[in-house]
Amino acid sequence: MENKFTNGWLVATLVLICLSLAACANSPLRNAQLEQAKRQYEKASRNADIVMRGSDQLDLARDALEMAESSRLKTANTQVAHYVYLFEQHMRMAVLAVEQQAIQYQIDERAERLQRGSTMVSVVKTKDTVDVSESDNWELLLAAASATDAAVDDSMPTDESGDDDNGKKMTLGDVLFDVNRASLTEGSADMIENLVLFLNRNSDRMAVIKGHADNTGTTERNLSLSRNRAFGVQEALVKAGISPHRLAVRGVGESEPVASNELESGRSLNRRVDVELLE
Amino acid sequence: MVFVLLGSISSCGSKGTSVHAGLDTIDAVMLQATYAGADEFAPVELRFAREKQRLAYAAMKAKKYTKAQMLSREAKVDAQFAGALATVVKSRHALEGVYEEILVAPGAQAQETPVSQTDPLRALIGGE
Repeated sequence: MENKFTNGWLVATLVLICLSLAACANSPLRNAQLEQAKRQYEKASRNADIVMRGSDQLDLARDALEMAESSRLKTANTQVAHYVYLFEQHMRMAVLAVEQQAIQYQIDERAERLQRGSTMVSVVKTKDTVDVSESDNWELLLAAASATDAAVDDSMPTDESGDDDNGKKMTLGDVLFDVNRASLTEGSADMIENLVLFLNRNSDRMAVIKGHADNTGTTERNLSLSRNRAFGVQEALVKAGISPHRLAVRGVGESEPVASNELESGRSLNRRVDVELLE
Repeated sequence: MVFVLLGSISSCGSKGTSVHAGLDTIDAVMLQATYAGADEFAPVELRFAREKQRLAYAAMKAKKYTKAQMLSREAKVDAQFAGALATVVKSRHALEGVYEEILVAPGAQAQETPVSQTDPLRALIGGE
């Protein structure tokens, strides 16, 4: 038993010594590894994805392969194995680079699709408000808006922040419209009532109804959306007895946010309609 | 065992060259891999790199410079691979996150979704 054990160790030691000696000779195993590495490189260099997206790593892999080749010529087989190993790691990284870019592409595409989805909702909202605007009052509203739009541009106070506390501005949140309904939501009735009181208290003054949007979707769409939201509020005010000639409608899109668009809570604050009194 | 073999094999090629240039940049590469999240998303690969780094220092201490140089190169490339793999694994999770529209802490996601054990090289190029 003990003999077998000793023999086992002897064999193992001999194998180790043989391996060590073999390493210093020109091993066919190493050559086979090198040939396989070359075939892998050729295959990879014909792969358009790797050439396009993993070119840095592919170049490093080629350098390692060349080093392996030159090491083989110098019959330093340890170095051949070493450089073949480096070659393989660089090739793996080239493949990872391809995957990384493919994933990034999918993430961007899906994020865009999600954004488009929320824009679709916005478009539906816009259509609803257009329907409102296509009522009998539409032409009247449009005339009032276009008549005062130019004047508003010149006379709008540049610093609006100070006006809030002086009772010159009211802000309505983004809960004014239901997606599939043309009318204002029930929850908005109180806000409109307050707005009517606010305008009646200042019956000698013009008011600008300013629609805002968050940064979801294109700038053009947001401009149109914000303008139509403002039109919706104007229509409600006119129905409540406010003269359309006192009311100007502007859509400023996403250009005047009151909160960061990074989070939904901020975007919700940015989707709003301001009613400001002109001096 | 592999390292023992490597050690015995490399002993015939040692030339006594300085390997400071190789070793002094390992830490930076390791750090980059750690920043990429390799500790969490490619732990096996990073451990492999660290082991080679340890052996590289040991080889240099034993004045086996060629061996130290090779181990240092391999440690660096292993760390780079660990970093690249971690980045891809994180992106895979992010993709799932975008798809499901669920925000979960990265740590929790890592536990839920096992890291792919397939070799990227074999997966695309195929073993021959």
